[in-house]
Amino acid sequence: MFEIQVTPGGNRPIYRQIIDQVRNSVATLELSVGDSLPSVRQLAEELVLNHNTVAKAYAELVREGVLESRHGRGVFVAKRRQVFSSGERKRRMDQALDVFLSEILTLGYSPEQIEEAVAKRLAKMTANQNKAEVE
Amino acid sequence: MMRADNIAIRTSGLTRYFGHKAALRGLTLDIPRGQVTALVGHNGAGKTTLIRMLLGLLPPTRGRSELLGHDSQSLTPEVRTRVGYLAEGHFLWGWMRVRDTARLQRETFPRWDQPLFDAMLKFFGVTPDARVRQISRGQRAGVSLAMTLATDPELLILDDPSMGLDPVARRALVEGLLAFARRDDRTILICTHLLDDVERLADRIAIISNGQLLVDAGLAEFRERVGGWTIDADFGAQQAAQIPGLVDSRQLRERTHLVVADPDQETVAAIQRISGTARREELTLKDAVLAYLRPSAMVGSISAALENVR
Amino acid sequence: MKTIVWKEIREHARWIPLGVIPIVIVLVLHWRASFLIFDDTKMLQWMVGLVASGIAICLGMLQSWPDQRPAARALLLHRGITANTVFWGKLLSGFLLYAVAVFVPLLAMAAFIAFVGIEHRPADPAAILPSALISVAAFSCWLASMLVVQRDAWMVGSRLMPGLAAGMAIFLCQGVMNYAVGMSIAIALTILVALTVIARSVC
Repeated sequence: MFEIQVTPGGNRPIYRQIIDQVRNSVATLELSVGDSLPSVRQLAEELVLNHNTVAKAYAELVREGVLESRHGRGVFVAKRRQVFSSGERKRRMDQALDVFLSEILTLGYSPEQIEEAVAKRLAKMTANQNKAEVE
Repeated sequence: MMRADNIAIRTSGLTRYFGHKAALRGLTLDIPRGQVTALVGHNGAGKTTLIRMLLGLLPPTRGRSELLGHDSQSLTPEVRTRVGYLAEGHFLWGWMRVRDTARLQRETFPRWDQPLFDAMLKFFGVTPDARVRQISRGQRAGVSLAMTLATDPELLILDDPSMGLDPVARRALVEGLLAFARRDDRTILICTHLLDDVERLADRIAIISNGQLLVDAGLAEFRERVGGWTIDADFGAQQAAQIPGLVDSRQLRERTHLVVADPDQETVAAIQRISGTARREELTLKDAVLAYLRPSAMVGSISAALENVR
Repeated sequence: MKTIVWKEIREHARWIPLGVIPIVIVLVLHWRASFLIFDDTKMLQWMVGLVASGIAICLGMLQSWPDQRPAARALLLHRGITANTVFWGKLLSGFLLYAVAVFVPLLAMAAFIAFVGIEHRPADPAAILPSALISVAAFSCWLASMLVVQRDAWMVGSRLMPGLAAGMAIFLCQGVMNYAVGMSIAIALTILVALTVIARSVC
């Protein structure tokens, strides 16, 4: 069951938390293409948030191509397609890598251990995707 | 002069002295319609004084303010019926029965919504026949909120509505406010120091410290434009002067934590010069706000930061 | 305004017995003290006037002081009525409460004299009348105490001024009473009206 949880008072603004969780769920296939998400109003009520916060998160996800809004019928998971230019893609990847690496490096793993962990995780995620595509 | 219709509250140079002490100094702030604005500051920072002046319950020493386009010091009864006010402490006369509080409102608020009042009482678990002195603090807050929201105001002003409430009552209050804010063209101004609630409720944030307005920005914008760094080098007034937009610095064990407004490449470079191992860190809302509220020796730098985060 | 009147009466009706008792004591004492004839002695007038003034002052303070607190004041003023309406509501309710505390015992005394008392000694119910008139004048103390509490005066003298005015009203009333009842009524009413106008413009 797809569920979003937000924590106020954390490092990440709440709308970012929503974006991260939706993106993560799409990546790990907890959410499949075509699945509908709760409406802005429903999610805002459920999470006890200002609906502008939820709207902002959804708008960003639509802009990134993760979600698509079907007029009058709500918000759905979009088919994966490239919305960014190659320059923008590179920039986003570099940014995500910086955040990820700076967090990981403080834990004291060696570069080899990190690469191994990344490869393992990546393999698992792609395996899930392939499995879903077969189904 | 054309007045923009999308500003619910306007203040201009609002100043108030009590004896020789200034509770508010030259406050100029616009609160836009249709949004939730949180006013944050220490107790005694001037928030309650500001609210009282906005509602015409206290005259300013200097300056003026407007509610819904009408001068605060000469509000007509008609304008007052469009503004809901929840004063701090949730005051109600103890001898009254809860259902009698509706009687107090019904006579003079033309859009009184009795079903909403009853529904809210139920939501907060208050029996209408109980006397105000018999119910708990949280329930009294619920009654106050019900009394105010059921008058169907366009503009809702709340002064520390969650003070003295347990977490359950607090959550109920936030839910009630969000339900109100969802409706068309409702404006909320809420004074609070509960930053978790601010994160849930607010579109905008204004920070007042020592009677002065330090920040007036959208909440997301505020968080994006305020950055935090941790450095391991010595940090004193000399180093502080080199960083434009520095809001606050705090020593914790051997490290110094910096909060900077609108950090640009120059700022980053300046920080790197002071300490090569400086690390950028994501700030919680609390950290960002506290940086503005902490009395800091670097007054000069704060003024520079003020200009950036308006 | 109806709601304000209702609120004030519900809030302060509990104090009426506290006002009735001193009046009754004064009347009973005077009745007992008069062996030969129950007359409207100066003593009775002064005593009733004094007690009634005290009741008026206390009632005025009760109705104004607690509602001066910022939170209570906000609740009272921030609604679809003018501050003047609040004042009139308090004035009306104040007078009603005062009337019950003061005039009802006086009326009861008059009735007592008319039906029971005359069997014991020569007395005329009308003997109560001067005391009743004094009591009307004494209500000016209610207005005065309201003014005293609400004025933002920074000099002690000017804060007490309304109190002095009310005191003079009653004193004048007493003095003139000896010469003409009509005159005293006129003076009392004039001062009452004047104080009302002043109080209204200040609130």
